[in-house]
Amino acid sequence: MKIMSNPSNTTITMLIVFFSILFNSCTEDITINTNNSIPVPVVYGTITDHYIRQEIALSSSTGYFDQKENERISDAIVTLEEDSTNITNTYNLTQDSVGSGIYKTQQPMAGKPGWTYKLTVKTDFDLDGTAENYEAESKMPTRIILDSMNITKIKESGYTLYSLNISAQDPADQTNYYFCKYTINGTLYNKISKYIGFDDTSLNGMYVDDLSIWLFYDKSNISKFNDDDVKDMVFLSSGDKMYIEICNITKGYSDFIEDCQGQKDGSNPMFGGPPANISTNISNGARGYFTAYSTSSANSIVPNDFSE
Amino acid sequence: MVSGRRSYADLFLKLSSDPDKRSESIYFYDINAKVSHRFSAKDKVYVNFYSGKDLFGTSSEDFSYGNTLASTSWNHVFSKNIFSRLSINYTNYHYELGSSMENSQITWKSNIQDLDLHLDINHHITNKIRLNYGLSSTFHQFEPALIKRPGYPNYRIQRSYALEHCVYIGLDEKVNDHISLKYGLRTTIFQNMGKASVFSYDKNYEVNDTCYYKSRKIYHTYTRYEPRFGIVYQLDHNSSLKANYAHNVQFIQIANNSDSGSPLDLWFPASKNIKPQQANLYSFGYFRNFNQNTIETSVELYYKGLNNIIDFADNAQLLFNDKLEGEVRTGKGKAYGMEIMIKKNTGRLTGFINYTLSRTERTIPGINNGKAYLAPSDKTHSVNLMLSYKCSKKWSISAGWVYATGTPVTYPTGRFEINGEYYPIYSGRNTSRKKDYHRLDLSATYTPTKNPKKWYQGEWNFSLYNAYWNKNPWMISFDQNTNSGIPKAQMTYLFGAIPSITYNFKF
Repeated sequence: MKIMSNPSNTTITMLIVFFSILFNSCTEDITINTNNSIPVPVVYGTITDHYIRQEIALSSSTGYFDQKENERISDAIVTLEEDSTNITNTYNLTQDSVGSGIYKTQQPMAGKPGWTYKLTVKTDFDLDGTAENYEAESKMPTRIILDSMNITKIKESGYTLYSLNISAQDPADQTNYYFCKYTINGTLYNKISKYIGFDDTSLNGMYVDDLSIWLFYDKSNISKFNDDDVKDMVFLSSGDKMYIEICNITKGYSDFIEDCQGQKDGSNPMFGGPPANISTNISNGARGYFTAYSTSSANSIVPNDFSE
Repeated sequence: MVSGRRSYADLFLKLSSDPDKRSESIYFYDINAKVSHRFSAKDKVYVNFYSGKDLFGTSSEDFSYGNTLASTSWNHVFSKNIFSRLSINYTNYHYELGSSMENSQITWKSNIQDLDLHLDINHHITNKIRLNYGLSSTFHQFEPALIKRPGYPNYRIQRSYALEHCVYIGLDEKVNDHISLKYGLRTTIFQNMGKASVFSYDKNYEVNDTCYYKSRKIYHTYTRYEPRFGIVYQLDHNSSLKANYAHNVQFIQIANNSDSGSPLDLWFPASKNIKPQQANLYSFGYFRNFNQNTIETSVELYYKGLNNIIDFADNAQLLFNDKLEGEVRTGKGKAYGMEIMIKKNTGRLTGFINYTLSRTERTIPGINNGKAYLAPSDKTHSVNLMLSYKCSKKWSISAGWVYATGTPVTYPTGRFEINGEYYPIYSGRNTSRKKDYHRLDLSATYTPTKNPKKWYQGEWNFSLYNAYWNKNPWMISFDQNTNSGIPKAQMTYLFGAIPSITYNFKF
């Protein structure tokens, strides 16, 4: 066998790129013109088993890139009904400050596990002279008994991390869905992107002992992340006081939290699936979510020493 | 023949004043080698090898994709009327993602490997009838994701294996001075093969059963037939009409994420859960040459009806998911359009322009509320222009321009706010478009007079890619303004203008 020697087919090519001013990927802010979707009402409210004035937030959706904040809905009639087998109570919710869009029960009340909560919002959103009804209902799941929580300090892959661990009895009835919200030194992290969601798929009915549900980075690791990531992260330091609430929630609300967390900054363009609307249980074309859940709380202090 | 090239642009990043830029790398290379040997007047053997890779990297992360192909073929002449080609081919398309962050190394590898054996025979029965037939067998291996992390067990989404056997026959027949026919039939058997865990899904796409198959066990088979028929009617010595019908079956489908041009699209072999895609293609064209055949023109219309096409469900989970078939929905599609071409082959000025007007739609239950939506590849207008001009014996110049309507994407059209965070609202799948893509490439080639004393002939090529520096979007992403939280859009583009000089030498 010999190497072909036909000159027309024998080529050695050397490519030299002389210089490259922008031979590099670049990211820049751009303006996108999209046809704004027609505004719809946004209803968001959670009824908990805390004895408080329960509240519902009403606002309007707006164009994705609108520079002003979403408008509040301040002329709605908001009614909450709670039902058990043979008792029905009705509560009217009103705004403390007109224009806030935050409607509260007039007196404190605690939601009850096993009871069904039905929300009705009546407002003339489309300004046609007739009020429309936007409704949702949710049955409050049973309470999970949270025995304790603790935080352990660990070293992993060069990072100092704090593991948030819980001990609790998972109810055996069915798949349960949970989320955890927390305060650090009294500051409540109440944004959905900060909620810690989990379910009992592999733990159904078990007693979980020091189950790690989340890892927080130590504040000293901030420099290891880029600014874009840091603004969405929560860090802990030794001595921080942490209070958590574990909430037993419906599958629908768990899906809603997962959708919100996945879609907050649009779908991940590299690894995400096609973008899709966040699920909702509000009727009549509105967005948002209404749910009832029970809570169980515990607190702990972020340790100084690494766990053994 | 051996050829190789690698871009050196990233070497200049080392000169940057920005330390982040200095640690970035971006390059491509390819290597090509061909060897052939004529054993006798009737036997010739070819060996080809190609390997190419593109890499984009920063100090802590990189991303690359590439192709490796190797083939050997043996051409044999049985008689002056019968020729055969027996070939064995290997291909490996792969992509890799890696993080080299201190103490946090992780690599993600994915590939598709094919090994196939082909036998093709051409048989000239008469001057007017040519027969071609053959068979092939392919072994496919899919590696969706292998994730390695030092100190941890590897995580692998199950590999899948398939065999594809095919036999075909085709006939080219010149019926008379006006009519020529081309027709044929291909039969393909596609078999899924173990080792595999195969999931069954209920109507909500939740897994309700799992079957395990041992290695090399054939556990599912599809047999499909692909007929085709074409006719050319010669109107006169300058013009003709052509009509074609073909039924095509595709056993491996790609489901893509429409938002980026990333090659991280996922491939799905036909299986118990995903039926092979079927297409009926109809086309009709008018072809006419002018000026003693120096200018060729054509207008073609086509329509393609598709069945069993796939796309990702809303809110599909694609990462670390070994039940990806449950994230896919199946439906129908159609594509139709018109192509116009003008081509000049001779003279100092040569080149072509082609224009395509087209539309590609999908209707898939469970996506976009079951309403038709644009396919991610839809481009309403597409233009390709290529012109070359031979200035002198030594110099020639050329220009290429491409234009295409931006491809469809799903951008948010509204937003709602909860507890101080904004969330997107979409009006439907693929209702927006990226901005239009266009690019001009220029080049000049200088061929010095051959020096008979030199053993090689050199040639210089000067080129400018994306000459007017159009920022063509590669990926659009969204973020929130750090202070106000108001959403904003960001575009990532890969290349500005790239000048290059190439020196070719032949010997």
